[in-house]
Amino acid sequence: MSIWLVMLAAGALTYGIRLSFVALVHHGALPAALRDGLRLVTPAVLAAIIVPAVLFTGDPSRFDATLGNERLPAAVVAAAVAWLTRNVWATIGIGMGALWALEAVT
Amino acid sequence: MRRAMTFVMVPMLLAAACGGGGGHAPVGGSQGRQGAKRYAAGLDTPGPSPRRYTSRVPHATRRSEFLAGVRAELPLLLGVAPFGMAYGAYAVESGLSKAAAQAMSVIVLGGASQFVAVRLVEAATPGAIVVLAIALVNMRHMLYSASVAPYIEHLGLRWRLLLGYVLTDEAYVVAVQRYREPGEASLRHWYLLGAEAALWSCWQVTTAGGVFLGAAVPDGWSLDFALPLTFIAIVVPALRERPALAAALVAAIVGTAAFRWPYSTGLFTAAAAGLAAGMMFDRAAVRARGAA
Repeated sequence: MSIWLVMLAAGALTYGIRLSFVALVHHGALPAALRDGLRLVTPAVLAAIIVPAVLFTGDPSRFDATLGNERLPAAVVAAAVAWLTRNVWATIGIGMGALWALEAVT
Repeated sequence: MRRAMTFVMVPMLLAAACGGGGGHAPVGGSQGRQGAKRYAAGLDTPGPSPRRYTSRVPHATRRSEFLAGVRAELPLLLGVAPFGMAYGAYAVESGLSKAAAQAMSVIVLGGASQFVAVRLVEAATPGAIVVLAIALVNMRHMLYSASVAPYIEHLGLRWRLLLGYVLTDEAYVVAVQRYREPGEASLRHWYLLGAEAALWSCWQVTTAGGVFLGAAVPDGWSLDFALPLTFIAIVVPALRERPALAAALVAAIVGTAAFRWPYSTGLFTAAAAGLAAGMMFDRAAVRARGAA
Protein backbone atom coordinates (compact mmCIF):
# COMPACT_ATOMS: atom_id res chain seq x y z
CA MET A 1 0.00 0.00 0.00
CA SER A 2 1.44 3.38 -0.91
CA ILE A 3 2.09 5.95 1.77
CA TRP A 4 -0.71 8.07 0.31
CA LEU A 5 -3.28 5.30 0.67
CA VAL A 6 -2.09 4.67 4.23
CA MET A 7 -2.50 8.35 5.07
CA LEU A 8 -5.96 8.59 3.52
CA ALA A 9 -7.20 5.45 5.28
CA ALA A 10 -5.66 6.43 8.62
CA GLY A 11 -6.91 10.00 8.21
CA ALA A 12 -10.44 8.76 7.56
CA LEU A 13 -10.32 6.46 10.60
CA THR A 14 -8.94 9.21 12.83
CA TYR A 15 -11.56 11.66 11.58
CA GLY A 16 -14.20 9.02 12.30
CA ILE A 17 -12.89 8.67 15.87
CA ARG A 18 -13.10 12.43 16.43
CA LEU A 19 -16.55 12.62 14.86
CA SER A 20 -17.82 9.57 16.74
CA PHE A 21 -19.90 11.33 19.38
CA VAL A 22 -19.96 14.75 17.75
CA ALA A 23 -21.64 13.67 14.53
CA LEU A 24 -21.89 9.91 13.99
CA VAL A 25 -23.63 8.31 16.95
CA HIS A 26 -26.23 9.94 19.14
CA HIS A 27 -24.26 10.90 22.17
CA GLY A 28 -24.66 9.37 25.56
CA ALA A 29 -22.47 8.87 28.58
CA LEU A 30 -19.32 6.94 27.82
CA PRO A 31 -19.15 3.67 29.84
CA ALA A 32 -16.63 4.06 32.67
CA ALA A 33 -14.52 1.08 31.57
CA LEU A 34 -14.22 2.43 28.03
CA ARG A 35 -13.31 5.87 29.36
CA ASP A 36 -10.54 4.49 31.57
CA GLY A 37 -9.30 2.29 28.75
CA LEU A 38 -9.10 5.16 26.29
CA ARG A 39 -7.02 7.17 28.76
CA LEU A 40 -4.50 4.34 29.05
CA VAL A 41 -4.08 3.50 25.36
CA THR A 42 -1.63 6.29 24.64
CA PRO A 43 0.86 5.68 27.47
CA ALA A 44 0.78 1.94 26.69
CA VAL A 45 1.43 2.33 22.95
CA LEU A 46 4.07 5.02 23.33
CA ALA A 47 5.96 3.16 26.07
CA ALA A 48 5.97 0.06 23.85
CA ILE A 49 7.67 2.19 21.17
CA ILE A 50 10.05 4.26 23.34
CA VAL A 51 11.85 1.46 25.15
CA PRO A 52 12.66 -0.76 22.13
CA ALA A 53 13.63 2.37 20.15
CA VAL A 54 16.23 3.08 22.84
CA LEU A 55 17.42 -0.48 23.48
CA PHE A 56 17.71 -1.73 19.89
CA THR A 57 20.39 0.26 18.07
CA GLY A 58 22.58 0.02 15.01
CA ASP A 59 21.87 -1.19 11.50
CA PRO A 60 20.96 -4.06 11.51
CA SER A 61 19.60 -3.37 14.99
CA ARG A 62 20.70 -5.40 17.98
CA PHE A 63 19.69 -5.39 21.63
CA ASP A 64 22.06 -3.39 23.82
CA ALA A 65 21.06 -2.51 27.39
CA THR A 66 24.55 -1.50 28.51
CA LEU A 67 25.98 1.98 29.02
CA GLY A 68 27.92 1.41 25.79
CA ASN A 69 24.61 2.22 24.09
CA GLU A 70 24.67 6.04 24.36
CA ARG A 71 20.93 6.23 23.77
CA LEU A 72 20.17 4.60 27.09
CA PRO A 73 21.74 7.22 29.42
CA ALA A 74 20.53 10.00 27.09
CA ALA A 75 16.96 8.69 27.33
CA VAL A 76 17.20 8.43 31.13
CA VAL A 77 18.38 12.06 31.30
CA ALA A 78 15.52 13.12 29.02
CA ALA A 79 12.98 11.22 31.15
CA ALA A 80 14.26 12.97 34.27
CA VAL A 81 13.94 16.34 32.54
CA ALA A 82 10.40 15.51 31.39
CA TRP A 83 9.41 14.40 34.90
CA LEU A 84 10.81 17.50 36.57
CA THR A 85 9.98 20.23 34.04
CA ARG A 86 7.09 18.83 31.91
CA ASN A 87 8.68 20.97 29.20
CA VAL A 88 8.81 19.64 25.65
CA TRP A 89 11.59 21.94 24.42
CA ALA A 90 13.79 21.06 27.40
CA THR A 91 13.17 17.31 27.05
CA ILE A 92 14.01 17.14 23.35
CA GLY A 93 16.86 19.67 23.58
CA ILE A 94 18.63 18.17 26.58
CA GLY A 95 18.04 14.61 25.34
CA MET A 96 19.58 15.33 21.93
CA GLY A 97 22.39 17.28 23.60
CA ALA A 98 23.13 14.37 25.94
CA LEU A 99 23.26 11.92 23.04
CA TRP A 100 25.59 14.14 21.01
CA ALA A 101 27.85 14.71 24.03
CA LEU A 102 28.05 10.97 24.78
CA GLU A 103 28.71 10.14 21.12
CA ALA A 104 31.47 12.76 21.00
CA VAL A 105 33.14 11.35 24.14
CA THR A 106 33.08 7.68 23.11
CA MET B 1 -0.10 12.87 -7.36
CA ARG B 2 2.63 14.83 -5.71
CA ARG B 3 2.00 17.90 -7.84
CA ALA B 4 -1.70 17.70 -7.03
CA MET B 5 -0.90 17.64 -3.31
CA THR B 6 1.39 20.67 -3.58
CA PHE B 7 -1.45 22.42 -5.35
CA VAL B 8 -3.69 21.74 -2.36
CA MET B 9 -1.04 22.49 0.21
CA VAL B 10 0.00 25.96 -0.87
CA PRO B 11 -3.31 27.72 -0.19
CA MET B 12 -3.63 25.78 3.07
CA LEU B 13 -0.24 26.98 4.23
CA LEU B 14 -1.13 30.51 3.24
CA ALA B 15 -4.30 30.26 5.27
CA ALA B 16 -2.23 28.92 8.15
CA ALA B 17 0.14 31.86 8.01
CA CYS B 18 -2.77 34.28 7.99
CA GLY B 19 -4.46 32.52 10.89
CA GLY B 20 -1.27 32.68 12.92
CA GLY B 21 -0.75 36.34 12.12
CA GLY B 22 -4.31 37.30 12.96
CA GLY B 23 -3.98 35.56 16.28
CA HIS B 24 -1.26 37.81 17.49
CA ALA B 25 -3.07 41.09 17.01
CA PRO B 26 -5.30 40.97 20.07
CA VAL B 27 -2.74 39.78 22.60
CA GLY B 28 -2.87 43.13 24.33
CA GLY B 29 -5.79 43.10 26.68
CA SER B 30 -5.88 41.32 29.98
CA GLN B 31 -8.78 39.00 30.08
CA GLY B 32 -11.08 38.16 32.94
CA ARG B 33 -11.61 34.49 32.18
CA GLN B 34 -9.86 32.24 34.59
CA GLY B 35 -8.75 29.41 32.34
CA ALA B 36 -7.55 31.64 29.57
CA LYS B 37 -5.76 33.80 32.08
CA ARG B 38 -3.92 30.90 33.60
CA TYR B 39 -2.77 29.62 30.23
CA ALA B 40 -1.96 33.07 28.92
CA ALA B 41 -0.04 34.07 32.03
CA GLY B 42 3.28 33.79 30.31
CA LEU B 43 2.35 35.57 27.11
CA ASP B 44 -0.11 38.34 27.87
CA THR B 45 1.38 41.79 28.02
CA PRO B 46 -0.44 44.34 30.13
CA GLY B 47 -3.14 45.93 28.04
CA PRO B 48 -4.05 49.57 27.87
CA SER B 49 -7.64 49.20 28.94
CA PRO B 50 -8.84 46.10 30.76
CA ARG B 51 -12.26 47.71 31.17
CA ARG B 52 -12.90 47.30 27.47
CA TYR B 53 -12.87 43.55 27.91
CA THR B 54 -14.80 43.22 31.13
CA SER B 55 -17.59 45.35 29.74
CA ARG B 56 -17.71 43.12 26.67
CA VAL B 57 -17.90 39.76 28.42
CA PRO B 58 -21.71 39.64 28.68
CA HIS B 59 -22.00 40.62 25.02
CA ALA B 60 -19.61 38.16 23.42
CA THR B 61 -19.59 38.35 19.65
CA ARG B 62 -18.50 35.71 17.16
CA ARG B 63 -15.34 37.67 16.59
CA SER B 64 -14.54 38.16 20.27
CA GLU B 65 -15.13 34.45 20.99
CA PHE B 66 -12.98 33.37 18.06
CA LEU B 67 -10.12 35.70 19.03
CA ALA B 68 -10.37 34.67 22.68
CA GLY B 69 -10.05 31.04 21.55
CA VAL B 70 -6.98 31.87 19.50
CA ARG B 71 -5.49 33.76 22.42
CA ALA B 72 -6.15 30.96 24.92
CA GLU B 73 -4.47 28.49 22.56
CA LEU B 74 -1.28 30.51 22.01
CA PRO B 75 0.57 29.45 25.20
CA LEU B 76 -0.08 25.78 24.44
CA LEU B 77 1.48 26.26 21.03
CA LEU B 78 4.83 26.67 22.77
CA GLY B 79 4.55 22.96 23.51
CA VAL B 80 3.10 22.03 20.11
CA ALA B 81 5.78 23.79 18.06
CA PRO B 82 8.70 21.52 18.97
CA PHE B 83 6.57 18.42 18.23
CA GLY B 84 5.76 19.79 14.80
CA MET B 85 9.39 20.63 14.08
CA ALA B 86 10.60 17.26 15.36
CA TYR B 87 7.95 15.41 13.35
CA GLY B 88 8.74 17.21 10.10
CA ALA B 89 12.48 16.67 10.48
CA TYR B 90 12.07 13.03 11.51
CA ALA B 91 9.69 12.28 8.64
CA VAL B 92 11.97 13.51 5.84
CA GLU B 93 15.01 12.01 7.55
CA SER B 94 13.22 8.65 7.51
CA GLY B 95 12.66 8.85 3.77
CA LEU B 96 9.19 10.37 3.42
CA SER B 97 8.90 12.90 0.62
CA LYS B 98 8.42 16.49 1.74
CA ALA B 99 4.92 16.50 0.24
CA ALA B 100 3.93 13.29 2.05
CA ALA B 101 5.36 14.51 5.36
CA GLN B 102 3.39 17.74 5.14
CA ALA B 103 0.22 16.08 3.82
CA MET B 104 0.17 13.71 6.80
CA SER B 105 -0.05 16.75 9.09
CA VAL B 106 -3.17 17.83 7.20
CA ILE B 107 -4.81 14.44 6.71
CA VAL B 108 -4.01 12.63 9.97
CA LEU B 109 -3.39 15.65 12.20
CA GLY B 110 -2.26 13.80 15.31
CA GLY B 111 1.30 14.28 16.53
CA ALA B 112 2.09 11.00 18.25
CA SER B 113 0.31 8.94 15.60
CA GLN B 114 2.27 10.65 12.83
CA PHE B 115 5.54 9.73 14.51
CA VAL B 116 4.38 6.14 14.86
CA ALA B 117 3.38 6.07 11.19
CA VAL B 118 6.78 7.29 10.05
CA ARG B 119 8.57 4.76 12.20
CA LEU B 120 6.48 1.86 10.89
CA VAL B 121 6.72 2.99 7.26
CA GLU B 122 10.48 3.22 7.62
CA ALA B 123 10.53 -0.38 8.90
CA ALA B 124 8.59 -1.47 5.78
CA THR B 125 5.53 -2.45 7.81
CA PRO B 126 2.47 -3.48 5.74
CA GLY B 127 0.13 -0.55 5.13
CA ALA B 128 -2.88 -2.05 6.88
CA ILE B 129 -0.84 -2.44 10.09
CA VAL B 130 0.30 1.18 9.89
CA VAL B 131 -3.32 2.31 9.50
CA LEU B 132 -4.37 0.29 12.55
CA ALA B 133 -1.48 1.62 14.62
CA ILE B 134 -2.38 5.23 13.75
CA ALA B 135 -6.01 4.65 14.68
CA LEU B 136 -4.98 3.00 17.95
CA VAL B 137 -2.83 5.96 18.99
CA ASN B 138 -5.67 8.35 18.15
CA MET B 139 -8.37 6.34 19.96
CA ARG B 140 -8.28 8.72 22.91
CA HIS B 141 -9.82 11.45 20.75
CA MET B 142 -13.08 9.60 21.22
CA LEU B 143 -13.01 10.89 24.80
CA TYR B 144 -12.90 14.46 23.54
CA SER B 145 -15.66 13.76 21.05
CA ALA B 146 -17.92 12.40 23.79
CA SER B 147 -17.05 15.28 26.10
CA VAL B 148 -17.67 18.06 23.57
CA ALA B 149 -20.74 16.52 21.90
CA PRO B 150 -23.35 17.88 24.35
CA TYR B 151 -22.01 21.42 23.90
CA ILE B 152 -22.23 21.46 20.12
CA GLU B 153 -25.16 19.15 19.42
CA HIS B 154 -27.37 22.15 18.59
CA LEU B 155 -25.11 23.11 15.68
CA GLY B 156 -25.67 22.05 12.09
CA LEU B 157 -23.86 19.05 10.67
CA ARG B 158 -21.42 21.21 8.70
CA TRP B 159 -20.26 22.97 11.87
CA ARG B 160 -19.82 19.66 13.68
CA LEU B 161 -17.89 18.17 10.76
CA LEU B 162 -15.58 21.20 10.82
CA LEU B 163 -15.09 21.29 14.61
CA GLY B 164 -14.52 17.53 14.73
CA TYR B 165 -11.60 17.69 12.30
CA VAL B 166 -9.23 19.44 14.75
CA LEU B 167 -10.69 17.95 17.94
CA THR B 168 -7.28 16.99 19.35
CA ASP B 169 -5.61 17.24 22.76
CA GLU B 170 -4.59 20.88 22.85
CA ALA B 171 -7.78 22.26 21.27
CA TYR B 172 -9.98 20.20 23.55
CA VAL B 173 -8.21 21.25 26.75
CA VAL B 174 -8.71 24.94 26.01
CA ALA B 175 -12.26 24.79 24.67
CA VAL B 176 -13.73 22.59 27.38
CA GLN B 177 -12.64 25.10 30.02
CA ARG B 178 -14.56 27.81 28.21
CA TYR B 179 -17.62 25.61 27.86
CA ARG B 180 -17.65 24.86 31.57
CA GLU B 181 -17.78 28.54 32.51
CA PRO B 182 -21.17 29.89 33.53
CA GLY B 183 -22.99 32.41 31.37
CA GLU B 184 -24.24 32.80 27.83
CA ALA B 185 -22.77 29.96 25.77
CA SER B 186 -24.50 30.19 22.42
CA LEU B 187 -21.43 31.53 20.58
CA ARG B 188 -18.77 29.41 22.23
CA HIS B 189 -18.30 27.19 19.20
CA TRP B 190 -16.48 30.21 17.78
CA TYR B 191 -14.10 29.96 20.72
CA LEU B 192 -13.49 26.29 19.95
CA LEU B 193 -13.00 27.19 16.29
CA GLY B 194 -10.48 29.89 17.23
CA ALA B 195 -8.48 27.47 19.37
CA GLU B 196 -8.58 24.87 16.60
CA ALA B 197 -7.55 27.36 13.91
CA ALA B 198 -4.55 28.46 15.96
CA LEU B 199 -3.54 24.87 16.70
CA TRP B 200 -3.99 23.71 13.12
CA SER B 201 -1.98 26.64 11.74
CA CYS B 202 0.83 26.08 14.21
CA TRP B 203 0.98 22.36 13.41
CA GLN B 204 1.19 22.99 9.64
CA VAL B 205 3.76 25.77 9.89
CA THR B 206 6.05 23.94 12.31
CA THR B 207 5.77 20.73 10.26
CA ALA B 208 6.91 22.69 7.22
CA GLY B 209 9.75 24.19 9.26
CA GLY B 210 10.85 20.74 10.41
CA VAL B 211 10.59 19.32 6.89
CA PHE B 212 13.00 21.89 5.50
CA LEU B 213 15.23 21.78 8.57
CA GLY B 214 15.34 17.97 8.51
CA ALA B 215 16.24 17.86 4.84
CA ALA B 216 19.29 19.99 5.66
CA VAL B 217 20.46 17.99 8.69
CA PRO B 218 23.31 15.52 8.07
CA ASP B 219 22.74 11.84 8.92
CA GLY B 220 25.35 11.82 11.68
CA TRP B 221 23.09 13.91 13.92
CA SER B 222 21.01 10.87 15.00
CA LEU B 223 17.79 12.76 14.36
CA ASP B 224 15.80 9.53 14.66
CA PHE B 225 16.39 9.86 18.41
CA ALA B 226 13.81 12.68 18.32
CA LEU B 227 11.14 9.96 18.23
CA PRO B 228 11.76 8.40 21.66
CA LEU B 229 12.52 11.86 23.07
CA THR B 230 9.22 13.26 21.83
CA PHE B 231 7.31 10.33 23.27
CA ILE B 232 9.20 10.63 26.56
CA ALA B 233 8.06 14.27 26.73
CA ILE B 234 4.44 13.15 26.25
CA VAL B 235 4.38 10.05 28.46
CA VAL B 236 6.68 10.63 31.41
CA PRO B 237 4.74 13.54 33.01
CA ALA B 238 1.57 11.39 32.84
CA LEU B 239 3.19 8.55 34.83
CA ARG B 240 2.38 10.23 38.14
CA GLU B 241 -0.89 8.30 37.92
CA ARG B 242 -0.50 4.67 38.98
CA PRO B 243 -2.66 3.03 36.28
CA ALA B 244 -0.75 4.90 33.57
CA LEU B 245 2.56 3.87 35.15
CA ALA B 246 1.48 0.21 35.26
CA ALA B 247 0.29 0.36 31.64
CA ALA B 248 3.54 1.94 30.47
CA LEU B 249 5.83 -0.44 32.37
CA VAL B 250 4.10 -3.60 31.20
CA ALA B 251 3.84 -2.33 27.62
CA ALA B 252 7.53 -1.40 27.63
CA ILE B 253 8.63 -4.86 28.84
CA VAL B 254 6.36 -6.78 26.46
CA GLY B 255 7.21 -4.42 23.61
CA THR B 256 10.93 -5.04 24.10
CA ALA B 257 10.55 -8.81 24.41
CA ALA B 258 8.29 -8.98 21.33
CA PHE B 259 10.23 -6.41 19.27
CA ARG B 260 11.20 -8.93 16.57
CA TRP B 261 7.71 -10.30 16.04
CA PRO B 262 6.58 -9.93 12.43
CA TYR B 263 4.30 -7.14 11.20
CA SER B 264 4.52 -5.15 14.42
CA THR B 265 2.33 -7.73 16.15
CA GLY B 266 4.64 -7.19 19.14
CA LEU B 267 3.51 -3.55 19.33
CA PHE B 268 -0.17 -4.47 19.44
CA THR B 269 0.45 -7.27 21.94
CA ALA B 270 2.41 -4.88 24.14
CA ALA B 271 -0.32 -2.23 23.94
CA ALA B 272 -2.98 -4.78 24.88
CA ALA B 273 -0.91 -6.12 27.79
CA GLY B 274 -0.22 -2.61 29.05
CA LEU B 275 -3.87 -1.66 28.76
CA ALA B 276 -4.92 -4.74 30.72
CA ALA B 277 -2.37 -4.01 33.45
CA GLY B 278 -3.46 -0.38 33.69
CA MET B 279 -7.13 -1.27 33.94
CA MET B 280 -6.45 -3.85 36.65
CA PHE B 281 -4.70 -1.11 38.60
CA ASP B 282 -7.61 1.23 37.99
CA ARG B 283 -10.08 -1.28 39.36
CA ALA B 284 -7.86 -2.10 42.34
CA ALA B 285 -7.68 1.62 43.14
CA VAL B 286 -11.46 1.94 42.93
CA ARG B 287 -11.91 -1.04 45.27
CA ALA B 288 -9.38 0.40 47.73
CA ARG B 289 -11.27 3.70 47.80
CA GLY B 290 -14.53 1.85 48.34
CA ALA B 291 -13.09 -0.12 51.29
CA ALA B 292 -11.54 2.90 52.98
